[in-house]
Amino acid sequence: MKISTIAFRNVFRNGRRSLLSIIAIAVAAFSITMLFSVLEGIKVDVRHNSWNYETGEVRLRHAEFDRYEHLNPVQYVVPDYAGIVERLQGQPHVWRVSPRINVPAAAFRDDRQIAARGIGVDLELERGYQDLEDIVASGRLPEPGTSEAILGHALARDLGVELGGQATFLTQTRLRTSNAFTVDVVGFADFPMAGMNRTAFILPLESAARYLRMGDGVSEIFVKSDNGDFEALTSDVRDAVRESGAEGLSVTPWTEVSGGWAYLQMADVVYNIMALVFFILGSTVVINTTMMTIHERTREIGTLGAMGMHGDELVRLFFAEAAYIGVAGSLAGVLLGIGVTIPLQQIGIDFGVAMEMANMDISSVLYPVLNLRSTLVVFVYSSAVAMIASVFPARRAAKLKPVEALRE
Amino acid sequence: MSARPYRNGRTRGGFFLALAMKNLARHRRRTVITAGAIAVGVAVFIWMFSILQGFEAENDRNMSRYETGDAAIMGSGYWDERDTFPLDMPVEDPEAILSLLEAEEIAAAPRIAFRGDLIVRYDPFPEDGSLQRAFYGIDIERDSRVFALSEAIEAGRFLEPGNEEVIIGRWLADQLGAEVGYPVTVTTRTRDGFYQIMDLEIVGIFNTSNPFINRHKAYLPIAVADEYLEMRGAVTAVYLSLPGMLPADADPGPVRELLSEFDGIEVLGFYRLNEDFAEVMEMENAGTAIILILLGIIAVVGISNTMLMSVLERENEIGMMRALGVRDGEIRWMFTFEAAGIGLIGAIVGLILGALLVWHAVAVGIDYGVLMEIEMDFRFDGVLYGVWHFTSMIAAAVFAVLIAGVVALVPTRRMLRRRITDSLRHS
Amino acid sequence: MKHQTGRRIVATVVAGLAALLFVAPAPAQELTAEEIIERMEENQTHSTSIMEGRMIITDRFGERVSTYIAHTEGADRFLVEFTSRDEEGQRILRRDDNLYLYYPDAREVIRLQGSALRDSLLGSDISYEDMTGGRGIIDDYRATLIGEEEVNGRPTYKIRLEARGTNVAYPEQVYYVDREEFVVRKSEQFARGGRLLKETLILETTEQDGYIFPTHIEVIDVTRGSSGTEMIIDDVQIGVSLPANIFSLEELTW
Repeated sequence: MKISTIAFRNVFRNGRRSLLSIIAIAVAAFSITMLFSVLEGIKVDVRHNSWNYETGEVRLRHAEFDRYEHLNPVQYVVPDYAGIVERLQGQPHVWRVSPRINVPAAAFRDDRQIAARGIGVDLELERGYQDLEDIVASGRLPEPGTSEAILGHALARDLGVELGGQATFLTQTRLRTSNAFTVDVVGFADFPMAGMNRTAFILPLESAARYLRMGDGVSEIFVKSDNGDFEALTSDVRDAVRESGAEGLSVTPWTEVSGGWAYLQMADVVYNIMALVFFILGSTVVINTTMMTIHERTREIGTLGAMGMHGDELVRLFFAEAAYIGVAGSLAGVLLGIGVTIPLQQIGIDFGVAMEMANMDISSVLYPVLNLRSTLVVFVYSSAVAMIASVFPARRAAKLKPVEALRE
Repeated sequence: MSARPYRNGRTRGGFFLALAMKNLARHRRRTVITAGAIAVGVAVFIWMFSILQGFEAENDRNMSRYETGDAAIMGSGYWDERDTFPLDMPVEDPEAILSLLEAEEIAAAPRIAFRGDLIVRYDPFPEDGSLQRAFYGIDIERDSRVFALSEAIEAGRFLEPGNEEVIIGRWLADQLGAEVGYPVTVTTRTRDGFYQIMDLEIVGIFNTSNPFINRHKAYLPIAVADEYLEMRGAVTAVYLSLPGMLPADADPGPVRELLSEFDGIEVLGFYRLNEDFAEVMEMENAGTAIILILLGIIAVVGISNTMLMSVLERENEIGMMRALGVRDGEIRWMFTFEAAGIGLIGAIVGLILGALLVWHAVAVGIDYGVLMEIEMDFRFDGVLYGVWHFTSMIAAAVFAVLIAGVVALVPTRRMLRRRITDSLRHS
Repeated sequence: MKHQTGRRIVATVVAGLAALLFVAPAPAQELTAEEIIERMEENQTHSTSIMEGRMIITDRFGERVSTYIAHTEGADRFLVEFTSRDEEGQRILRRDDNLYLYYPDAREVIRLQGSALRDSLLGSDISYEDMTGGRGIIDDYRATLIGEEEVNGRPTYKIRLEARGTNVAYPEQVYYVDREEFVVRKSEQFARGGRLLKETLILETTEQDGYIFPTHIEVIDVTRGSSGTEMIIDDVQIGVSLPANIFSLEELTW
């Protein structure tokens, strides 16, 4: 009889023991799969925040603005933005474009001055650029061209403004003179970057342009690619700028300026350490279970030896058994991980730290993201560990003289 | 457990306890494998907990070491107005407060925070410019007991008491084209609202791991700030470093009590000082919790699985004991004891191993900076430090023993429900 | 909040008040410093005026011009309305020692208080604070005659003003008051340590209806080494009747 057949039968002959081993491996594989999904979720979250609110995947600005950034030189704008946006949209790697106007603002409540930051966005383009509805905690988004705005919920609280109320902000125009404007508060926002909730509000680009005397200029244009190839995207944006004939603009990929990107570099290493720890503990569990299984069967090994089975045949037998169990366990674990992650990708893991605010429910939600490559790695790794773990104890047992083995 | 005398005057329960222990020694290999599983589970969990807490605490520490301390004493109402840097609601008599605190060996650092225009001029600067920044007058000696600023000097030197000098952050220095030795002018208002001008020399450039500090803040000796701002000894805040592994653990209660005599001040705890980051903290806590839960699942399954196997393996033995007239309850207890014994050995070994790992994580840290090339506008340590968290260490160990005991109980009970002959036939 | 009185002359010029300086009929001889300042202030106080002017602000990024029409009544009521394209319709109202800002894009009037008063007007070298105050220099400052000096070829009294209390922004100022016309020719503002902060120069004056107007004023922020802010008054009408309620909050918003 072939060893693989015997091994296969053995798996079923002692169903309970096999089941325990499979569960151990499955749990390890499941946990690691989940870990990867959670970590991937965090990474995707950080990247989205950077792309949506910090730097875009590639950022287009006036070069002098970068140089004098500490002076907030609002007069350095990207001119003729409509023309540039059109050219950008014609580039192969450009997927979405978001022109922005940054509105430095101060509001007054009683004798308190509250610093804020408005973001003027083209609501049509922005809806494609990011899932804007996602930030609406209550109320709705502003309509294009109106004096409406959606305020970060903590800013709204600080200003003491209700839905349907209004807020007046003092600002600085492109000409470095002052202006003030009143917005109708049509919504409260829960921004993914917590710090923004206390300062940020979103208003229509056209209105921001009017208040700040921007003419046809915008503060910056964020660009996203469809595949994350920021290098190709950068050169595409440069091409578009060159074709447009605009001068003095700087094109910067997020990898050069984004705090989010820097964080990801750091996080990547930390997460790999975590993954390593999981693998170590997972392996220990698998190795231990396998060792226990074989230890428990020392007598059986003795019997098989007494019946004339050779040492390496024994090792192969146990190896084959471990392979079946390992593959079954890993597969079960990984599938379970996938099965749990897929719905969670949509629902998210809600930590229920709901903050009490007028008809608003704000909480931290983490959305795990399934990464197929790492899931595959988990599967292969778990199976392999189970197989390798079987070799050493089996070899040791096989080396025992049948008499000794039987006596155990 | 029965108290009836048994052989050699031992209680019957004592006998089974002894037998259980004997079994541990008899099946040494099984004990080692099972206890090993428990030890690894406990050790890894403890270590990971320490590291994750350290990672999570990094932000808190950063805030504590550069901006907020663990707690702060401020004039009543100051905190709500902090964005405008008012000088008219100060801590009037910081020396009295400081001597009280220092008598209790609580590290405290007074600071005068004010807003001013930093003015630089062409030659030696590349061009003229002026920008609004936050300035802090710091007590050179006391400051280092609470804050880590003095360790972050990248060029030049740290401040010296009473000198008319200033240190600025790396980002700002680069933007302005500033170097050590360059003169700057600062205009501000005194406590009474008068205009004031200070000529200061840049003697140092710091680069902290807190980018916000590097961009927006500048520091000068407190005596200079006191003199020019005519504070008459008052300060805007006294920052505290409190005992506790993590800033968030620090309890400002005792300080509050200590200073209850003082009017017009309030003691703000770490959470209050960092309320802006509450959501970030929640998120971090949640992320850590998920990871620990997942890790806990592996450890628990690992422990219970090994334990389960080691019990199931002995169905024969159970049958034999029952045939010899040992009562079910006694068998149950014996197995539970045996399992708990293995659990205890594993937990202790795990605890020791874990403590060693945590010690390493706290003292040396994991240097992952070498693994990456990264340019940032702030100093980047690249070392992940753990923290001691004794409650979690003990909890992990106790939990492991309990799991081991409980897990042994379940299969034993099931086997005891079988007929003895079935049990004996098994294997 | 105590109001800062400070550099009254700048305040009034921005508002269009300082242009209305009365020509003193007889040269004063044995005047004390207080009397000189009081004479100067009396000359600035009058019934009503309307004037059109320009403000030229120069900074590192270039030069900008804003035009305005100012309505004044007495020493401490004025309404400035900007007419240049980019600031069109913006108004600054001063009444009851308060400063109110109106912007056409805003539905609410902003009352400046606290630290916001320290902000600069349109990015110039003049702060909103410089436009408030006005209970009288002598109330806030002790005046000492410290000499006589020629400024732009005109003989002036040099008067040092030291703050009496802590309710003003400048602890010390020096005024150079024309000996014959009792108009300020130059003023200097000092910081607490005695360092020069700002300098105001009256470059040109014009006589009309028996009044002498500074028509070209330059303010320089000395610490910043800025290129300064210039104010030029192009047209003045004095003693005109102003629309009723022009200085009311209700009128401000339309």
